[in-house]
Amino acid sequence: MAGIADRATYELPLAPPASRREEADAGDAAMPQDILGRNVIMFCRFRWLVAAVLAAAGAATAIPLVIDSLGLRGAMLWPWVLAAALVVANVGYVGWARRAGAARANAQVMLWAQIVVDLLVLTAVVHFIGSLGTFAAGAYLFHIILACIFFSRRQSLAVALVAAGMFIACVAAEQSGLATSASVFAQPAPRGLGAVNFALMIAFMIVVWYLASMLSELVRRRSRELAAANRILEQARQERMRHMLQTTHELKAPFAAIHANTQLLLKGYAGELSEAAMPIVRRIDARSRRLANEIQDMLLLANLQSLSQRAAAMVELDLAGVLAWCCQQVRDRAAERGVTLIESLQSSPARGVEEHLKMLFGNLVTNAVLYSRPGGQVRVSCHRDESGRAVACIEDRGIGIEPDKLSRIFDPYYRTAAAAQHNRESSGLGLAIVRDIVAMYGIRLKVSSAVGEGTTFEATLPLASDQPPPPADEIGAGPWRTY
Amino acid sequence: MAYILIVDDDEDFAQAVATVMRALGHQTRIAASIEASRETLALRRPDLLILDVMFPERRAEGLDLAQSLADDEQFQGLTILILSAVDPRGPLGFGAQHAPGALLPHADFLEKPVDLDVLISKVQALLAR
Repeated sequence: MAGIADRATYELPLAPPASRREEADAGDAAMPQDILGRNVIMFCRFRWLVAAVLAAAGAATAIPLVIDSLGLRGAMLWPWVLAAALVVANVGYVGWARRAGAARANAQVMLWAQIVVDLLVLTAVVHFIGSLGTFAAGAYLFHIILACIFFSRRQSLAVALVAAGMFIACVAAEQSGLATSASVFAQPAPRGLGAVNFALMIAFMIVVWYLASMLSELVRRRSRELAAANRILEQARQERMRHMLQTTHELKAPFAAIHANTQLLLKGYAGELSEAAMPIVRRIDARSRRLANEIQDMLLLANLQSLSQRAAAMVELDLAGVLAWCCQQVRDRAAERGVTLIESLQSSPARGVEEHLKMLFGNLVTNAVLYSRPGGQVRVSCHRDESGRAVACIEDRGIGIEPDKLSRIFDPYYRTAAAAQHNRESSGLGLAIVRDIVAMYGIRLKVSSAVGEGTTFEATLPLASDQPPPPADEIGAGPWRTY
Repeated sequence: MAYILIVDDDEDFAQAVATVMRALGHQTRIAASIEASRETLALRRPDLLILDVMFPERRAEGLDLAQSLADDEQFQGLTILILSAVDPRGPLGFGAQHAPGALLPHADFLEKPVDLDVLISKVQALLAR
């Protein structure tokens, strides 16, 4: 049985089973901690407003006209006392939140502390306004709804029970004589109204909690599903990008061998080529170079779309220098085609990754040269506009683009028939690269063109303060990892 | 005349490079794997190592070899020309800016595909150091 013992076995691991549905079903979740943290601050602001309203109400009851017209008992001190209590509590919350790092840490604890104190204050308000003779107890419903929005279903039920418990305790204390029944109104409430109001209020609390918590849970579940789907899509996109990059690199290796061996033939390392063979090898060389350009452009595009490139460090630079470099790169090709390059470059400070801006403007300047006719002119200029933004303008007098095709020229692999005929070496990816860089930086790019007259691209770079921060590097950089 | 060791799993490319180097009067050997290159290195120290980066089993195996040679006293100061198809600007790429200090200044980088004239001038410059 030695033969069986030597046999090695490997089973391909199954794909990880995590799914969107499982993530969405993951427990009875409340809002994320950072969102709760932000709301601690919002509730503090709202509490200042409530304290101000209570103080205003207290002040209003000191005015005889108000007392007479509303049928109140008289001037009231309790709104002032409760407003002061809220102010003291709020000062404590704000101080605590600041010490806890913008209220992000332990936001749940902070919220619960606020809820309990707020419900106590509210119960006092309900008691003084009239627990059974008025609809003041309706204010409990706001707390219940807010708890349903921000907390899990279980936690919001706890808030609803605490609110109902406080209301019942208030009424019980009043009915049992532990506390004197109070009301702001001089006239007593009609007999029987108290019992009806009490029953209605408890029913409202139950129904409102049930509906609000259910709806809130549905919304949260949907949000979790969307977030999970988004994560999966983003992972798939990154995976596709990585796969494309690796595949394209794999293409470069055989191409490098073809290119090197073609050069051996052309440069005579394998002896003199016959007159018939030479043009054939040259054609192979030309097509190889075109393939190399396409591979290069595919790589550039894939690199740009990967997050790690977007997270590259931005520096202050002068757009004039970038454009001068781009012109320098294309000068020989322009001369070959009899195209004159005219530069008018004023110092235009900008911010970005130099490599990206060179790709962007390199593509535009190269296109301007390639789609010019012999003897044509390409004008490359830059300046700062009145608001300090760097503006670059690349203008040619070439073949131009038909108006209905202008919006499509940035699509990958799209080329107008006239463009493909004029320049057979284009990969069709140059303007897709331009589009991606423009989107990454929030650059305003305007293109105007007339068939037979030429095309003008005008790029307005945003001010440094307007640029979005680069996303975090999720691919992970580092040349020495194995992959 | 120098002794140049070419380490590349793409034999067609390695043969082309060897042809050019021999035409320049240099002596060449080709190793198609990192394992084979270690055996060849043990026999004779080359004047120049032309090294590919990506190998089938471990994608950055060439860089690992360069690093281990830089750490090995026997190969201190060995000049290495790293030839890689990986764009140094991309997220998977690497270039001189990424090389650890121990590799420089004895290593240089070229991206594949490479023009033979560029390769020749780079090799001559490295051998002249």
